Amino acid sequence: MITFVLGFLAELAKETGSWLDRLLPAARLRRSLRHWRRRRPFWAGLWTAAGGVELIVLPLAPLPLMLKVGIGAMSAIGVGLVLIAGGLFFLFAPAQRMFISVVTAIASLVSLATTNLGGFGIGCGLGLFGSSMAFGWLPHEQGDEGGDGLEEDATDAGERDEGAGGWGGGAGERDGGAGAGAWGARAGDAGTLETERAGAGPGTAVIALTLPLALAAALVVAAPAPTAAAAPPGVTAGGATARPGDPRDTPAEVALPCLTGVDTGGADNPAPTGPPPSGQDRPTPPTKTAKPGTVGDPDDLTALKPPLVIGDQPGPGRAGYPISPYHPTVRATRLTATDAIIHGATYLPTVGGGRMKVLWVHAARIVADDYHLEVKGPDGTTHRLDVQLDIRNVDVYATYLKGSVEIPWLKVNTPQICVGADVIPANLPLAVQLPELTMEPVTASQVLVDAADVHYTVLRNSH
Amino acid sequence: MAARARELSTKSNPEGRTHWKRAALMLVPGVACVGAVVIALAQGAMAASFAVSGKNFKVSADEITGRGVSGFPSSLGSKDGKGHAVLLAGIESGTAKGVCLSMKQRLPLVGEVSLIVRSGSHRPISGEHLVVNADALTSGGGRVTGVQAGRDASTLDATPGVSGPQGLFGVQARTALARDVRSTAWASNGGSLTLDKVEIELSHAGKECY
Repeated sequence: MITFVLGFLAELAKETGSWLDRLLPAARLRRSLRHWRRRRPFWAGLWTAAGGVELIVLPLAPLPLMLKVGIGAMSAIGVGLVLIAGGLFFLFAPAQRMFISVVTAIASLVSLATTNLGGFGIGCGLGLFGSSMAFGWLPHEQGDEGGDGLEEDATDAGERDEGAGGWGGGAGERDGGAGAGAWGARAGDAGTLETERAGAGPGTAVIALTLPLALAAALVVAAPAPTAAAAPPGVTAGGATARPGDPRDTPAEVALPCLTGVDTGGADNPAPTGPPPSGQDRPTPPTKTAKPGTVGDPDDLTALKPPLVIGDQPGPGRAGYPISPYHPTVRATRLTATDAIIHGATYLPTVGGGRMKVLWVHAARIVADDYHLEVKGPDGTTHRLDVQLDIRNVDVYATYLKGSVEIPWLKVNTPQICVGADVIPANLPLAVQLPELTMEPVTASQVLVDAADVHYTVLRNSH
Repeated sequence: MAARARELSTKSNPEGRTHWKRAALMLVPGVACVGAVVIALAQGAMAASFAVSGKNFKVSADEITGRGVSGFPSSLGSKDGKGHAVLLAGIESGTAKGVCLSMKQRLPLVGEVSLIVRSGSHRPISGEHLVVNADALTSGGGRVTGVQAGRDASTLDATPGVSGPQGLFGVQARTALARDVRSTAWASNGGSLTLDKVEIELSHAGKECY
């Protein structure tokens, strides 16, 4: 039954092949290409190389990132290159196919463990299939060779019969010559082999051809899909909820100076008093001294030294690691700080050796409702974060703070006040401690949050 | 013409063909090895390494814990030449419970097929040196300790090897725990993942993790 179906398919493929051959132009060119193709394990090389390409293409991550991640991502490139190189060897140095096919087969198996389960099976499968085909590829015996040549000499029609793919595998091969040693023994039955090749060959060829082609087509269809960038549904709505819509949330604004980016001077950062709440990076003491009478440059880490410094900074030490100058703007509908220590203004270093003057507030606990963060990414797109926050043991550094403060006991809000870091001299030897500070709503240019413990609910990140 | 063909065929590279029985000598043991590796991976006896990407790559997990977490905004190059904004997050080592990963793909002839992989429902799966480019990330809640939000991305040191360009806003934390995590990952490049029992489901009905 199966042989009948295969035979029918082969017959059909043969017919289609000869029909195609009559239809397609440039018969001479195609004949010479076909001749070239038959002298090497062409399809084996093609599938092996395709498997390698698939393994490399699948991660789609930028190369520098893959280099950083290390062996996991690099193995995709390594194994893929081995398969591509192997495929090219099959095409251009078919004499070395035995050794190369073993190498590519092993590489395909290795890819299963190291690269996305072998490119989700496709790259591994193509590589193994191609390697096996190359391993199984053998040149015809001398007698066979002569017959083939004669046939080409005799009629063009005879050649057209093989048009669909005479390269192909004679699945119906019965004489079981698995080893190279069988050549001599088979020299005699070249004729039978020839008929088999013309018969069952193209049928298998079509099957062997369509299977990997379907896989390749699936890849091609899948590949452009990411370009149709999926805007995550519903996330933009989350950003809107954090914005205070109620007009009562924006009371009369008091025009206190709220400058940023101007350094109005102050003391050098004092010696460290301990690590910041996050427990890392002990700050390094400043090295430069101040020049009295000049206003500091925002990029200058020196500052005016006050005549007198009394006492140590209460609370944990200042963060000493470099901060990013591209800080996010944050807002919350309500912010409650417990046991807050207002340090005033201080300096934080940036990577280039510059500094930024910031307000510094420490709190034992901060609860922020509908906290919304917006920060620009490297390509100018805005990243947003919406979250309900409950933070313990935290230092907040901001260039300005804007909001209306709730007066304790009276439960009355002040007009909206804006305090910039610039109006406060840096590193004043004072710190104000408040048992509770509530602001609603609050907006800040948040340079740094250094916290020991953050609890959050309902986090949403979007772009 | 005839003379040329004869000349070509008698060159050092004679014509040949694929002998399928001979090919089976390699193909059959190869497929057997593939089967063995797949079984080993599914049993968690072997760690798999991942590096994937794509629009329809959705990940959800009941609970994720991480040690040494750092992240910064980044962009991935797309085929259309436009960068796609993502959050790049690196995790030095972590575990995940109830992980689901789904990919929806439109295949020719077959139509829309979604592949759903579930793991870690009994025993959490663990991974090391993971880098995820998340597009949209949501979480029901969780806890993060040792947070530094605002650190220059080039000086991030919580996850070895993951740091960004200078001047960029960076976040890092010593430990992190997140519940009910859902993310559309654009690319995830993993060191290694040790999987628990893996259930793989192919769905024609467009089923996804969420």
